[in-house]
Amino acid sequence: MKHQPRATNLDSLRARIFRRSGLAPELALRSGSIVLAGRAASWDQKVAAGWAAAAQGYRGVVNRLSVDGIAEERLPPSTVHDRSLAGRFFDVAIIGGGVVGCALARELSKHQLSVVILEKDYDVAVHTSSRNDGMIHDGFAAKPGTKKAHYNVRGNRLWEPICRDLGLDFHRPGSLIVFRSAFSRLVYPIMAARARDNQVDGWEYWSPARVRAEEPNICSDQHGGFFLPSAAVLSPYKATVALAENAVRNGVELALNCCVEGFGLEAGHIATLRTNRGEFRAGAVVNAAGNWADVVAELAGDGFFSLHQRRGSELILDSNTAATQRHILGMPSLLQVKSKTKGGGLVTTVEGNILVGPTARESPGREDYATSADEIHELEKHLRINRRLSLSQVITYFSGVRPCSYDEDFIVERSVAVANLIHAAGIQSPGLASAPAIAEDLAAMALAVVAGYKEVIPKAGWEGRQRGIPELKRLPRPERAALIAAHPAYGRIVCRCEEVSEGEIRDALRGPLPVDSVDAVKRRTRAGMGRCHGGFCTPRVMQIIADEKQVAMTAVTRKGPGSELCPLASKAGRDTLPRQGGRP
Amino acid sequence: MKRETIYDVIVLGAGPAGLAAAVAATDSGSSVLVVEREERPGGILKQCIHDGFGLVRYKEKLTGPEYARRDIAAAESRGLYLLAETFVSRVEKGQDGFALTCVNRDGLHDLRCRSLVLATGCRERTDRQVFIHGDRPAGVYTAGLAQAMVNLHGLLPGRTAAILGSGDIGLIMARRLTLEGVAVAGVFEVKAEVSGLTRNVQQCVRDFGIPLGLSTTVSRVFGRQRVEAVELSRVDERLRPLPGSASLVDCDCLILSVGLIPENEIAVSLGVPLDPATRGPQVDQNMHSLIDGVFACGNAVHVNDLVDYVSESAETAGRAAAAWARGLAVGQPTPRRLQPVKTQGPLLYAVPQFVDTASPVDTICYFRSNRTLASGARLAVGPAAKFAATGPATTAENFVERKFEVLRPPEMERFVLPAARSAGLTGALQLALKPEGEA
Amino acid sequence: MSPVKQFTCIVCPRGCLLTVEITEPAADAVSGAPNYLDAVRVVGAACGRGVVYGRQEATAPLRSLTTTLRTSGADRPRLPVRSSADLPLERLLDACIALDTVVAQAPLRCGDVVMADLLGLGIDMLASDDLAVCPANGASHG
Repeated sequence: MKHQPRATNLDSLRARIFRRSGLAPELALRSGSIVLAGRAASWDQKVAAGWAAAAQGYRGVVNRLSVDGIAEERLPPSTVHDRSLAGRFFDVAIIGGGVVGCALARELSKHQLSVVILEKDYDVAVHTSSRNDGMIHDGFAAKPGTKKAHYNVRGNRLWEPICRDLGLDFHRPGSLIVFRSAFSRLVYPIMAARARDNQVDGWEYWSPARVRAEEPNICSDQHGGFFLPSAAVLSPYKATVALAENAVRNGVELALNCCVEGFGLEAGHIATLRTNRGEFRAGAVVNAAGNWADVVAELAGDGFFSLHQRRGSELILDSNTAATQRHILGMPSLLQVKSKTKGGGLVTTVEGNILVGPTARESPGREDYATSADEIHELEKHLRINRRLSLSQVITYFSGVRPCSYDEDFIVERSVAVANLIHAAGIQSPGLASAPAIAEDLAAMALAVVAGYKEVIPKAGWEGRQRGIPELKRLPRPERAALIAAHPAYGRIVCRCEEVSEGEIRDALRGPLPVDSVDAVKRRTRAGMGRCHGGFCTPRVMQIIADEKQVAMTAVTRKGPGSELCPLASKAGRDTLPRQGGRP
Repeated sequence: MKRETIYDVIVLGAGPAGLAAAVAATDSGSSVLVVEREERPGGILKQCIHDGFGLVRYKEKLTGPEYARRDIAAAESRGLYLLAETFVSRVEKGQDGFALTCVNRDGLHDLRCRSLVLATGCRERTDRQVFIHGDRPAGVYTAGLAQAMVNLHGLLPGRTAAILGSGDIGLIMARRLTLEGVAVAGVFEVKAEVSGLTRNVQQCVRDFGIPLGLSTTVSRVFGRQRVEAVELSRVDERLRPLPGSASLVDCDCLILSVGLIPENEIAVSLGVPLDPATRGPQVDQNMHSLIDGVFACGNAVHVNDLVDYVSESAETAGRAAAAWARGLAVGQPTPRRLQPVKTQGPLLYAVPQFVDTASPVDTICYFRSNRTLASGARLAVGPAAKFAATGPATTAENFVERKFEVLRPPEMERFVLPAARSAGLTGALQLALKPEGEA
Repeated sequence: MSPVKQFTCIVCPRGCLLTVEITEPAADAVSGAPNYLDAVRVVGAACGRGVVYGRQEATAPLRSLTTTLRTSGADRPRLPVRSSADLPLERLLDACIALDTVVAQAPLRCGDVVMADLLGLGIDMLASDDLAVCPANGASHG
């Protein structure tokens, strides 16, 4: 049972940490959490020490070990400064425009409340919420009894109706974990037991013949599989954007490029939030700050946990590859049952690509999305599961960072130290799958706080359904023709690889969220996501943004202030530059 | 638009290939429609403002827009119908030709034709396709995209540029950026030799004292919002970065000229077999693909070194597409007898991949060596492609023999095989290249 | 000026390595004028065209200039232009700077002079494409 320390003796805990990490840190107790201090020789040692201290009955692990050469990370400085939020009051302030924050905002928008989402970047879903494979896990992989297991299974059931309401693609191909050796098949009973414990919606053992019949392109060296029909996929960034848009349509405010810099604390609760867009008051504050959630908690004087970062890289295969398999395909490792992430595999996306991955590597860098050659190499092995795949089908690759607590479970709870603060932290895999279920509980907690000073009543006229930007290439012909007749810009194709029209791009820029960057357009419309990667359409997209937002072409950014694509006009370049020699 | 018309020939793309094909088809008596995605015809030549085009075709040194202007004038003088800002969404093959679904501001259109000419050009390889790692800030552009930004829009991609890849567009962008006042920190090439034309190395790089680093690649990109630096690494013989050889170059943009790939999505959707070496459709000497009625030309077939050859192959395709349409119109499709072209020796590829021995059209063959043959090479073309044991001796069985002073992969070579000679082929046509001074 | 220069010939793909020696010109036997032609010796060229190129390149390299100009009243922001003849290589950047302030007024035809007598060199800058007048602002949807 949590909050009842088993290791009452810090010396025995230190010994345990030493056995596991080779390090004997200074230990202290602080409001129920165990605090590690001192110096670690490497990042891996720091993380190993944190893990060793976890799950010993403390409320959380605060890992203050320093590592030579790795500086403590600070929130990136804000590039925008104004007073647009100064002096205002919101019933609920949500810190973080990821999938959890946006799902929560939509939940809260069902009530008569003033709600604001504070997102430090140029758009929602910029970080972990978009940097994943879009899989809505079945829920078998989580350890029974954990929050992960609970929220995953419930979230899996909630996503389908949400996607229907928001006009999002949702596919449920099921997940087939393929046994690659007779030996690995032995883990089947363990898997089945876990699926049962977690109350997963269905599972089956498939014989090698059944696997071959269901997946004709499967590798020849397979020994059957474990099939979980409830595994599904959606587009994670489109889902997050749609949740935010629906929330905004129902009255939620979204403050982009807005970063929390501090809190005004009074008598054990947060009185004000200080941001680069002004200081304001809030009834309840929800910390859904993703990879920065521990930093935000610390700012509020409630730093009872630390996060560590586990990077994952994925390959994206060409858009015709998903047709070569019917299910999400994975490989079990014998470690999977115990491991801190699922094994990875081949995920068929709603767009028809296959995502290969992810890898899992502990590394510092809350927003370090650099990819490395050896990670890509590591992923090649997954390609072998499907005989029709090869490395030449890779169109791009990316990485994401999972925010992990040392307990490796989600933190979804009201703060003990700060009365009106609620945490949603450590939302790593399967965070996307769990998000709607987490949001339900967070909403209940926030409503309980608000109920302390006013009566919460449902909002009349709440509209949870919406249609997204029309995807013209997928519309039935008469509908597409009618849209073009009404708005000829829908007939002007800008992105030739993904067949995206000027009208769709203008829609993205005129949507409820105030976005103005090339990447924001790309996330919403897929313009620039195809095989040429924006080689042809980037200037056209820039022109449309400049026209819609009435800014100069030189001011158009790829991903917010500071990322101007072409910062100088032709002559301006020469005016401000040191001259180069004409001849050697 | 006349909805029910069946065009003899529809040409996809109004770049140099599409325009030349359309003009040739019109001159052969066909009704022709050109469909173009962009606002203006001219294709990529619109942004190639440098000169050097047309030396073969016009014996003049033209700029890209000037070269395109001549094709546009030829098309206009024939009253050719150009459907601009129109995207071909779908092509289906039927019994007597092709049905196209097109999209433009006026709506969705169904077009029909007997012959289809794919003149869709090529696209650039991207940083992801050459596996450059690191951050993903703004400021990483393919050379063609940077060229469009500078030449068409008057925008500069940054203040200090590093260029990876010594293909011609990369070299030309080194000069272009220099003239625009952008500092070029260097041109880097992973291979041990330059990919572009010698002329461009001299006039675009050496002229301005720009460092040229061979056997060097960009192994990482740094920067959160904009590029702040790139990491260079020396590479080994297998083109892998050598550990410990890394160095940093401060720059705020990275321009990539790392190769071009024929655009062939429509060809693939029609089931047209591609040549893995060229990544374009396999064709015969009429630029006729292995799917009857589908023709391809220019950079959609293989990436040409000179636009003049793009035009040449397009004229061939246009004439042949017209002839094919004539045959279909009278219910008598032209018979084809295809024999494969087989290559031997250090050849990267040869186009065409087939010879139609039933066709009276001479075969213009384009090929590239797969490495630099500094001492030159001999070429033999025939049913057996035999080389005499020593010296310049000829064998009577060869259809064509040629001697080359030097062969380099960036520079395409060309020869003509008369139809009279290939007509009697009963098996594959062998194309053999033998380096001088090698056993 | 360095007496020996080495560079690659660009006349043909063969790419001969040219070595050009420049000596003090001797007085011509007949006229008594300095004989510059013999003072420049090109070694390594496989053909006569290479010799001509090498001599020019070593003594007074010339380059064509192609660039773009800002436009006014046109359907697009830049007009490609070219020099009517080759310029001395060392004047290319100066020429670009001089062209920074030139604006091409639509309409223009390919070949029209947009700037006469660039840098006093007797060379004109010519439009290398047609430039059409901007049509009424294109409609955008919505």
